[in-house]
Amino acid sequence: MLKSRIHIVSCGTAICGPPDPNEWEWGAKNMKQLHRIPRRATQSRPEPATNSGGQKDGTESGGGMVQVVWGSLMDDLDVAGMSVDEVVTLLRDPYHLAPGAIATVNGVEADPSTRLNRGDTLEFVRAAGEKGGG
Amino acid sequence: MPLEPEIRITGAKVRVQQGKKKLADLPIEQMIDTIYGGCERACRFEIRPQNARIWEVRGNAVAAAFELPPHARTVRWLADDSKAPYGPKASYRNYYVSFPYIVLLVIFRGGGLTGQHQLYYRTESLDTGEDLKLPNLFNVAEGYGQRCWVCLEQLGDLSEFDWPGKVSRIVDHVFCAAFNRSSEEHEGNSYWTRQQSIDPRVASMEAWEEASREDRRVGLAVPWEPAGTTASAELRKMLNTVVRPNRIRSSADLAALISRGLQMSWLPE
Repeated sequence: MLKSRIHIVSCGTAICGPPDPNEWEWGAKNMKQLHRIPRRATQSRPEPATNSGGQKDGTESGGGMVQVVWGSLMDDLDVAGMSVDEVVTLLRDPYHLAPGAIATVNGVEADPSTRLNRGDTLEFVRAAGEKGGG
Repeated sequence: MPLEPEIRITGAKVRVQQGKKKLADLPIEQMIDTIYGGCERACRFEIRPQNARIWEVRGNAVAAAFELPPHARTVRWLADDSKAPYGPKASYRNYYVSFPYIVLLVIFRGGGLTGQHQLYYRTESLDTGEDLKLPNLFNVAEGYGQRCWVCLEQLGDLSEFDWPGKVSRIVDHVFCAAFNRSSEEHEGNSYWTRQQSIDPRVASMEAWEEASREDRRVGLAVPWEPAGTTASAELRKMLNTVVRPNRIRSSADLAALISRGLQMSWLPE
C-alpha cells in the first residue's frame, strides 16, 4: 500500500504542537484561507450525512466538510472533493505537518490520490512515544 | 471644607463614613471583592489558548479547562499480546476510535504542570452545562486525590513554552502517546478496565473501532457514566491543592495579611 509521506514545513499556529517553537513561522496566507473557509461553512453546514454505513454520503466532489485531525488540532474543513495530496499541500504550512506523518482516511492509510468525501476523517498519524513509566 | 472619608474595619465589618454621614457598611469580604474587581492591576488582556473554556488565575497559578470537540482518530493502544504492560518491551496496535467531547482540567504553576491534571468526557459542549462523565481510557486513573487523573509523566517541563505551546503539547501527548497499562501498575486502576462494561460498543478496542467505522460520532452516543462532579468544582479543588486561597473575613485576617507585606498570593502580580 502506498504511503502518503508528509514533508515538514513550519508554521506559526500555536495549536499544532511543533517539536521546536523556534521553528515556527507564520503561514499567514494559508491560515487566512483555511480559517475563512471552515468558519463560513460551519455556520451554515448541516450535520455530516452519517448514514448507517458510516460517514460517506456519496459526494465525490463539489465540496463539503472533512474532519482533519493532526495531533492537538481538530478542524472541520471544506475540502471534500480534493485529493489527500492536494490537502497536504494546502495544510503543509499552517498545520506544520511532521515528516513521517502518515495520512489516513477514516483510519485507513490513504494513497495520496485518494479523493476525500464529505464526512471523512483525514488524519495525519505519527508515533509520539508512550504514556506512563515510572 | 468637607471632611476626609474615614474607613473603620472592626471584626468582619467595614464602615466608611464622612463626618457623621455613613457612606458604606459592608462585610470585609465584599470590600475585598470590590477592590479586586476594580483594581487596574487586576485587569489582564491576554490571549488565551485555543479550546480554553475556563480560565482562573490565582497568583502564579492558572486553573484551566480545555474542551476538545468530538472526533474520530487513530490511537496506539497496548496490544493484547504485548510482552510488557508499558515501557520499551511493550507492543502496540493502532485503532481508529470515536471520542465524545473531552474536557481536560489542568493546573499550572509558574507555567509548568503541577501533577493536577484530569480528563473527563462530555456528550455536549460546555456551553450546555459542566457536569462531567467518566472516560474509558488507559492512563486515566483515580489517584493523587483526583477522580480522573491523566498521566502526563513523560511530557517534561512545559514552563518554557507559551500558552498555546503548552496546550498543544498536552493534547498531543494525550492522544498521540501510546496508551498502556502503566496506571494499572502504578495507580492500581484505569478507567479502561473500569468502564469496559458500560456499553457493548466500547467493550473492547475491536468493538470500539468497528462502531467508530460505522459512525464516527458514536462517541457521543455511548451512555458514559456520570462522574458526579463538574468542571469548576474539580478545578477549584485542584487549584486549592496547589495554591491555598487567602481568606480575608475579618480585621485580624487583614491585619495579618498587611503585616506579611501584602503578599496576597491570589492577586495578580
